[in-house]
Amino acid sequence: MGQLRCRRAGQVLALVFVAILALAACGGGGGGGGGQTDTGGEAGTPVSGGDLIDLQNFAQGEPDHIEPGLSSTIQGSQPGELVWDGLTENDYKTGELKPMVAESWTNNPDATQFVFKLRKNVTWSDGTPVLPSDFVRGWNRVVQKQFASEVAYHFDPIKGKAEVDAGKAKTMSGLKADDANLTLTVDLAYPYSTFPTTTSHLVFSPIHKEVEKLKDQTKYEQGVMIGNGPYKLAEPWKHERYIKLVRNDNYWGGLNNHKPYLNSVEFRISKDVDSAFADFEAGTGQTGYIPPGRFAEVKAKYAGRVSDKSILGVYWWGFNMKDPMVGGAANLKLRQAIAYAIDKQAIVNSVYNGSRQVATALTPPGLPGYKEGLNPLGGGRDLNKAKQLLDEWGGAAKITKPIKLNFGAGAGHEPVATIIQANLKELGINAELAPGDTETYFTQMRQGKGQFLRSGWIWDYVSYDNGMYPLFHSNSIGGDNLVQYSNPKFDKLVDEARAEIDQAKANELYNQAEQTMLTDVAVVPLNWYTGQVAYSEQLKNVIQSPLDFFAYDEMWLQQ
Amino acid sequence: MGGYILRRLLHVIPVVWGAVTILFLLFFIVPGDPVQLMAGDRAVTPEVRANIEARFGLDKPWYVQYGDYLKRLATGDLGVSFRNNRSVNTILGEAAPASLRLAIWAIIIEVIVGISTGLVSAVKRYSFTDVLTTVSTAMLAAIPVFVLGAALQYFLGVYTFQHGFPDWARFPVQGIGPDTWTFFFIPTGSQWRYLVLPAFTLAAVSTAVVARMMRTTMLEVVRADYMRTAASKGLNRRQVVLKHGLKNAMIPVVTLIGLDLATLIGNALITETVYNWPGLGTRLLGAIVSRDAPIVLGITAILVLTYVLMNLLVDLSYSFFDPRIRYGKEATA
Amino acid sequence: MSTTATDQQTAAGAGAGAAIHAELPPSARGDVWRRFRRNRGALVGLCIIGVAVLAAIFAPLITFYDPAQINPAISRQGPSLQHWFGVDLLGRDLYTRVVYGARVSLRVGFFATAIAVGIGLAVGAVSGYYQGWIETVTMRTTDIFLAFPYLLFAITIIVIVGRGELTVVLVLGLLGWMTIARLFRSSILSVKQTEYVEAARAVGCSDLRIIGRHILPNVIQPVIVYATLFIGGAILAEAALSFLNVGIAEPTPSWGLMVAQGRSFLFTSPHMLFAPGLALFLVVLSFVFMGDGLRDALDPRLR
Repeated sequence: MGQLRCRRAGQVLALVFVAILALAACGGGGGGGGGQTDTGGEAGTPVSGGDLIDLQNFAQGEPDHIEPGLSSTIQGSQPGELVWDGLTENDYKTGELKPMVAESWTNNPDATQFVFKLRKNVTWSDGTPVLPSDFVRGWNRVVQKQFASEVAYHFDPIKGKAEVDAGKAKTMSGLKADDANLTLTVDLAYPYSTFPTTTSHLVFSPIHKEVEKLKDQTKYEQGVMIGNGPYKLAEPWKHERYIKLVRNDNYWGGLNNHKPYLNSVEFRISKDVDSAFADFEAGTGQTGYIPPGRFAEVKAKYAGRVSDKSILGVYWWGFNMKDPMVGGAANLKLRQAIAYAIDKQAIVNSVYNGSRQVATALTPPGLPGYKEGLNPLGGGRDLNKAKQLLDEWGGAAKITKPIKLNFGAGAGHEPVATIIQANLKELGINAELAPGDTETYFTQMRQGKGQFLRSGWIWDYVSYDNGMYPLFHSNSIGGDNLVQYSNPKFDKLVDEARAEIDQAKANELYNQAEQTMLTDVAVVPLNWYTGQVAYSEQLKNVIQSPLDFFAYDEMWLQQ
Repeated sequence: MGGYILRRLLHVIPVVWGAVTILFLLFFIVPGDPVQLMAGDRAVTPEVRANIEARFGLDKPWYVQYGDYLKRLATGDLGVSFRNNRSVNTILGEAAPASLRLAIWAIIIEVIVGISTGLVSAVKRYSFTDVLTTVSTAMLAAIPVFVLGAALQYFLGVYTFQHGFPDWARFPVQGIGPDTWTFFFIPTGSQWRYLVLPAFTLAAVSTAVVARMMRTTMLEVVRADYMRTAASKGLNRRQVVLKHGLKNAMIPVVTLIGLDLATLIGNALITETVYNWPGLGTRLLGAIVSRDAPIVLGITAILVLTYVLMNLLVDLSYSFFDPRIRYGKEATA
Repeated sequence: MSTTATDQQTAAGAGAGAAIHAELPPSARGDVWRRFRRNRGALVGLCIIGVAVLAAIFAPLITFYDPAQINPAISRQGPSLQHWFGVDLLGRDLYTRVVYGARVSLRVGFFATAIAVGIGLAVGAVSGYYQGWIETVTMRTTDIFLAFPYLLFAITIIVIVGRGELTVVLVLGLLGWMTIARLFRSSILSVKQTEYVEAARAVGCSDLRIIGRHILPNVIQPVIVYATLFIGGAILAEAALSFLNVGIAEPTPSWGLMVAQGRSFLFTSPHMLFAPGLALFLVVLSFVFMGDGLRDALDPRLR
């Protein structure tokens, strides 16, 4: 008797459970204020006031650092971008280099010296003026040995850094500050014409003299740091919870000559991307980071309120050019065949749910100097050409062992590798997935232990050089030149470009360099990153920079 | 009794030492590279590597590092995090209260709901209540915690917001909220709304297990001779069950709660991640993945300590539930 | 002494009053089976597990696709005539992956439990039977392992040693033996002093023989019940590990991994979570019911 009841009750409960799940299936499409034709870019006059809760920047977890001298990630640098203004800045819409705290600069003919003239009216949030010595203090601080900063490499071009690294000096000899005349003179160790562009990076920020009171510089970011930007820290970093900024009332006005509209910006720190976006959908914040698998659906639901501009980032798989099976001039046709065989669109559609752009070259559009059609292979899929080239090379039978597809495990690359494996199978080429332990993956690739390896690159600054030199110059082998690419023609073009003052001419040289590398098929660029942020109706004038920063000082909340 | 407690407390030391040593060896026997992990994709120049290693003593041989660590541990100093040089003690101080509060409430729910439903379903065996409880607790025990969390988040957080449910029916999706409490664990103001979903999610599996255990032992107890004696003495049902049965059934249940603490901590890790509750769990996960050994070792030491102390409390509570059990000099062999 | 009290409670805690069992003759097998059969829940559970095992064994015969065969063009499509459970992110057939997933999940569950039971019985026997320093050392070791937050330890080991089915099985097994050891030890302690054991010793049986043939059959009940529940727990634990990205890695079709991945698409493509989730849920539930049934069947006092 009891058992019968047991079974029936069990069935009822099971049915209830199924019903709940079915409801979830229907409820998933439920609307939440979607489909406005508002482009979010222009929308009337700015309104001062309002507090923004941001759920997109730290949707994936807490950064290790947020201060200019230590931050090595875009997300970690976002608050800093609002708290400090540097010598220069790249326009968030066009990517063009603009003078910021420096009102102008000059250079010598061979691009080994730059003199920056600072504006007179720029002050710290405590009212004191920003001087050239503040920049010198900030830059020297980063390269100190005991500071052990991972981002000190940005200062490599500066004369005197090598001596500091070797322990022979405490400060970089190439920096000279003239506070009376508000000039900063920088001598470089080698010709580097894009140096002013690099000074737009957060690491080149000025640092307030309050820092001299600290015994341990690494503690600076645990307190309230003084900056000269549109916002200032309201309170110290609340770990794992939020970072809160409030308007800097002493702000000099910036390039558009106005104080920020929003009263405060609170960057909430989340742990799980899906939960963070659910929080945005529940109305807790005004911005949300779209989880990778939901891009197409969110874009449709929040039409007009999604920022998906192209970001200067590229996802690629490259060949170890020193590998006997795939590298070198002899195997060029094999590399071409593989490049033609990979179905980039399928990868973008399924793995990235449409949130990336198929890449036809290495450098993305949006970078000044970008030129279409650099890739002699075209960049698309052509299975017939692939087969033809493979045969010309010697046929699939010539490959004795399965080609290794190297990637860091647990970072979401397995599906991509699986698709590539299937693509190669269509050519008759056997490939095997070779996931590497995330810790040692890059070290091993640097040592040349990979064959067809995955990597990516996010630009540090809006400069063509940043995608060329660190990735493909022979000097960078053992560093970020994972594919062990070494081509004297490429090196010469890049070296010339670095010394070329005229940026237009320099970009042409970089174009040729990139074309050389793509002709050698050192890498197969798969896709370019795009923004993945959704925002609420009330938020206006949302501008995303090519480096994936947002101009919070230009946004306002419609009340 | 005092001597017994003292002896048990002394046992804590080798246990904590053992746990810390095992972990330490794990970190150092298998080659790892926290420096590279910190840098992510980018190359780490030899100078930077040397600087970082010098600062954290990573360039010394492992037994030296072990010795240093134990020395510091003895004074209560848990070291500094590899990633941002912050004192582990400070980090724990920030994170532990949040985890503790969540755990306390999960245990309260587990004890109250678990014991009462188990009791009811044992007393009314094979009734509808019993069957409902049995099946639903079985089901709760079979659903992965993160699925339960996701479902609750959606139905009570997102769905209710998007379909304009009244305020009282909407629960926050994630986060700890204002973080306001009195008497350490009583939420004030709107704090309780942030507490509800995570606490129930965390408690769910444990509640199911406790309820089932309660039912089983209660059934056993109910059939015991002394229960029949009590009933034949003329005591009513409630008195029989509560006065005589309950106490005896409590012992295995209390044991289970103590043993279950380990599962609770494990589930807390997942719950805190899903609900973005800034406790030890979230810190721990990040630290393990980045091979931030000091944080992992520090949190482990604290968790191990907590577990051992909890079990001591559980053991001591036996003498409350079963007067036959005495510790120390009065103990029978 | 005092520790005996703790362990006796542990034995009682498994609901198995071992001391009492020692006074009864071991139940006849047929008796146990008949009692088990009367518990409908347990029977259903047994059937479901049977189906799962059969599905795992005959997987290639009852599925129509290769579990690794991708088809990005139909990514995340719902159930249809060609794909009964729909497809996943890469277009792989979910019905096929769920069936093959049975292999992985059941393997993980059974082998992890086997390891845990093996170690647990050995340690429990040693610490229960032998007094003195052996007992102290094994008890302290058990305490240390018990005090370890299990998930934390599991994650740490896997992150360091590397992901994979073998690692997961080893880790789950190495972290699950403690309760079995304690259970077994308490049972042994209660039984050690009884008459038939003394008789066996008087006759001259070796220690191993005494443990194996006289003690073991009488005290195995709580271990059997716990082991059954442990299998379900191990399968769930694998799901949790996969959620935290330290479980079984792609492209292996494990239910845990599929559920963890499906969770992200819970509200957009629910079938991705539903199919493996239901399989996971039913199998774990079955082990829970079976554990219940076994406990009731093996303990005549409850009938």
